[in-house]
Amino acid sequence: MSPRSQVTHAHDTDNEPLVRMVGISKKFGANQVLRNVDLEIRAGEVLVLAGENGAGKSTLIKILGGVHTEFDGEIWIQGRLVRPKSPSDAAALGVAVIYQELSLVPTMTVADNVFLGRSIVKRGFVDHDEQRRRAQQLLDQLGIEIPVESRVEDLPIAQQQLTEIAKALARNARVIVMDEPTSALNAPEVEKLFNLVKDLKQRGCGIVYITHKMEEIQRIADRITVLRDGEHVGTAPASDLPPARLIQWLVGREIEEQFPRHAATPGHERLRLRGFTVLPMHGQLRPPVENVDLVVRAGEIVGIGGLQGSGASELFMGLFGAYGQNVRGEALLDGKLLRIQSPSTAISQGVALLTNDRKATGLVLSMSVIANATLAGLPRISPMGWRRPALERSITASLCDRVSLRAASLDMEVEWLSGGNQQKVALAKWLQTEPRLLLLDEPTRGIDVGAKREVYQLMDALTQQGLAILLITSELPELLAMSDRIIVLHRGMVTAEFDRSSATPERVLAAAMGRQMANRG
Amino acid sequence: MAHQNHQYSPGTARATIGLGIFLVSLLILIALFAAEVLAGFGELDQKMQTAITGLPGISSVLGLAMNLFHCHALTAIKVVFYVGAIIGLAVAARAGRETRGVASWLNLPVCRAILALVLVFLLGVVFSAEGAFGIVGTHRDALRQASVFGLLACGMTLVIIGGGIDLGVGSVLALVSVTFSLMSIHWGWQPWVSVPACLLLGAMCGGLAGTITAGFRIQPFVATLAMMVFARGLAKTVSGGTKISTAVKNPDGTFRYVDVPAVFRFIDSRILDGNLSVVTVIFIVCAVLTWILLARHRWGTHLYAIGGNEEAARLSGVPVTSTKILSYVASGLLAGVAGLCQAAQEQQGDPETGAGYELTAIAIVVIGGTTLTGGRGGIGLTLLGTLTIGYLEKILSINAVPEASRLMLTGVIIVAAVLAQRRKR
Ligand SMILES: Nc1ncnc2c1ncn2[C@@H]1O[C@H](COP(=O)(O)OP(=O)(O)OP(=O)(O)O)[C@@H](O)[C@H]1O
Ligand SMILES: [Mg+2]
Repeated sequence: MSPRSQVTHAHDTDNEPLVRMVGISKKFGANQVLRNVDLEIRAGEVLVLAGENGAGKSTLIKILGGVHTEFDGEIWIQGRLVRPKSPSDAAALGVAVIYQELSLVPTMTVADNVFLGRSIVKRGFVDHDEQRRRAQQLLDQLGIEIPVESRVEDLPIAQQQLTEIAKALARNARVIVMDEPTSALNAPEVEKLFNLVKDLKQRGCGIVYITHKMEEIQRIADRITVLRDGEHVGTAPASDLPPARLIQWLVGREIEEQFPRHAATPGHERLRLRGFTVLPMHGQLRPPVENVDLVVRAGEIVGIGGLQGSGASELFMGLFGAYGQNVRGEALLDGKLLRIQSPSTAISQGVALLTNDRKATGLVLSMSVIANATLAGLPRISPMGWRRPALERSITASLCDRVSLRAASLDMEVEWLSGGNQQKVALAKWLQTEPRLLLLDEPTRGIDVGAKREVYQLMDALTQQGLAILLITSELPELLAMSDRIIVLHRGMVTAEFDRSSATPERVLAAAMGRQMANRG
Repeated sequence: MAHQNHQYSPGTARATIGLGIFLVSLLILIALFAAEVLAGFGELDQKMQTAITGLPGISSVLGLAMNLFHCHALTAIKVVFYVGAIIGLAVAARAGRETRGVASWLNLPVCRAILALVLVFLLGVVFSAEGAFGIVGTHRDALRQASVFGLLACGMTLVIIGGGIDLGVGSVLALVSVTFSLMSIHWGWQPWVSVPACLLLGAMCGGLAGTITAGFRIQPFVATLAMMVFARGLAKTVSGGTKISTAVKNPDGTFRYVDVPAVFRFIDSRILDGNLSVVTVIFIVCAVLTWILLARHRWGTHLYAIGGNEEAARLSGVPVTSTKILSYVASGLLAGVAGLCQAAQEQQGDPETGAGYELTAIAIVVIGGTTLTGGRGGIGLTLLGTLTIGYLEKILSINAVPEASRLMLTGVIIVAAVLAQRRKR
């Protein structure tokens, strides 16, 4: 190819965007979700698609990805009017999508998932060796360490998300859409993903990136399109949208102070762990949590820092009784021995656990908002076992107010809520049990700036009333700002403990990577 | 190809037209049927025949069809409207996906179950077997014959909503039916002893299967398949491999005939001037009780949660194992009730009875719209499914459709109904 033709090629793509979506409207029954939305994806740039929970971002992307096929409006891909009829149709048009709610087959291996739908075939049979080799190659390229042979359901959520990313990249698509790809990733993996995005940009791919995280938007956005309540608020170069203005676009008003945390007034000892250990399960070699000592006082938020495999989530699950009696060590709740048997005993003693994977372990998607919100509290709502629908409804309504849920109706199946609103339902469920100790594993996963602030406010208010919170979050700013103390885990063991004044991003990260800190108190 | 423009018009107009055609056809069919019942089939048919012969164009077409299919003029006309109703409905249902209002209700499982029932019912109106469909007795028998299946289907609904399946119900029915006959006919037990004992037996069978699957984590399909074989064997053991009937064998090898026990006669009797079978009443009472448990008790909610997402349910404090076991107990109990009814109706305990009933029960549940994957559905839907299958069987039998074609037709209709129930994502 001559240099000249290359120039014209580049010139062409400058003028003609890779994808142009014009006047897209979409209804679910009576619920108008998108109203006349435009979207333009250009080669070699990152377009951030931003908006509150339920604004219609995922829906817009699903239309492009051939998931929703009934809509009004036009889609132009490289100058051709198209209408993706199925995900494979969209893939053939050069569009790859990393979906928010992961679309992996849990019982298949990582390699099989990466090549799902386009298996490498030799003489009519799937060539597993070749698939494994290619998958390994791809993962190496991405700098991801996941055993390609392991089944997806055995992997933690972060690795599942990485697999989903690898699957989309394996398609060599021209347009890559990432719907909240980092919601379960930790700092180092996010870094890898960003390098990858840079790489893709240089290769002339167009990237759509959906996120609720401000730092991410500032780091990688070239242009930003904002949706609000299904309408196109506007599109602008990232440089024209400083954070304050962006937030104004997103929520339609200004937001003061991102992290509303009052100085804690710690009360008596709520939880004390001594030598808490979770025994190894299904073929693990080491205990996922080993000899953890920690104290949480009433009215306190204690953050748990750590990277993938730190054992923080397992600590929560073990404490909550999700592993049955597979734990050792001593746990005292308000000075009394905490009986660890099953989740129901934990709930009856005033412990609540918001898990980090709302779809797999948090919600029953086929049930209504009301049924989900009251599920953990049924023994209290209906002591004799007979249900009280009116009471359930009013309880749910007030809970939904507290977490500012946006749902067309409380009888709607949770499956049809947007990701962030699903998260809010999961949170509402645990508020309903009025716990003494709240274990929060990624509580703001996938929720928008406005709602995040409301969750923080809620955490603050709850601790003012004497609740104790243990918090796991992969977002460092959140961890630093919301925690009164931070305990860092590495491979299941405590490596450091900081109070508010001594915690800095560098020191927390260093401890999370396994460096023992001297100032452990 | 690239420049096709698929603008979707709002389907409201099409939906309205479709529904209109459906309703008009429906009304005409009902009017024809009413006239037929009032005037007598032969009378009306005769009039139709003469009316049609008056119109040259139509008569030749209809006449041809009548000769080809050996049917009456009246039936031929009704078939035309029946086809019209189906087409109207199909049009409305397609349009209903995009519109709101009445047509979008067609997407609800309840509506679909009702429509399936209406279509089957109309089939009876069309092929009324020279008016037989207009007689009260036909409906009473349809309901009576559906009741045993309905009882099994209620239990099956509970288990399926909880994410399981119960293949053992047909055999448990046979076991209870044999035991009940033995107790009532041979041993002369009083009903207040034999009935609770038999129900306990059914519940225990269910409890055993439930414990194996939920307690020991064996796939429900396998655990209840084992129960299906085991209970059948037990039924044969209990009965000694023969039918337990009122012909009781004496020690010297001769037979003596005893009276049919009073409890059998009671269960097999009718109330309301002979217009309603007691079996049907039993079924309805059981269905209502099951509905109350499922929709108004915590246990039902827990069952839905387990079927929808077992892990999330467990982490929300739902007692998964006991809830699941109880659903199998309930299923066994209801199979026991069905067994009592079966014994009373057959006036004997046949160890071979009820074979394949579990599959009919599953078909009923699925046609109603309860999903086999669990978590969604209800007793109301199953009630509609029971009526659909019950009427289908009855209509085929009053029209003297031979057994072989009946089975094939039933298979086809099950697939059609399930296709219509399929959820669109
Ligand atoms: N299949 C569906 N059926 C009915 N309603 C739906 C369906 N999918 C989405 N919705 C509704 O459409 C609206 C937009 O949802 P969408 O998932 O696009 O939001 P989002 O912008 O991606 O939000 P989030 O940031 O929380 O992921 C929500 O109100 C949601 O309840
Ligand atoms: Mg979304």
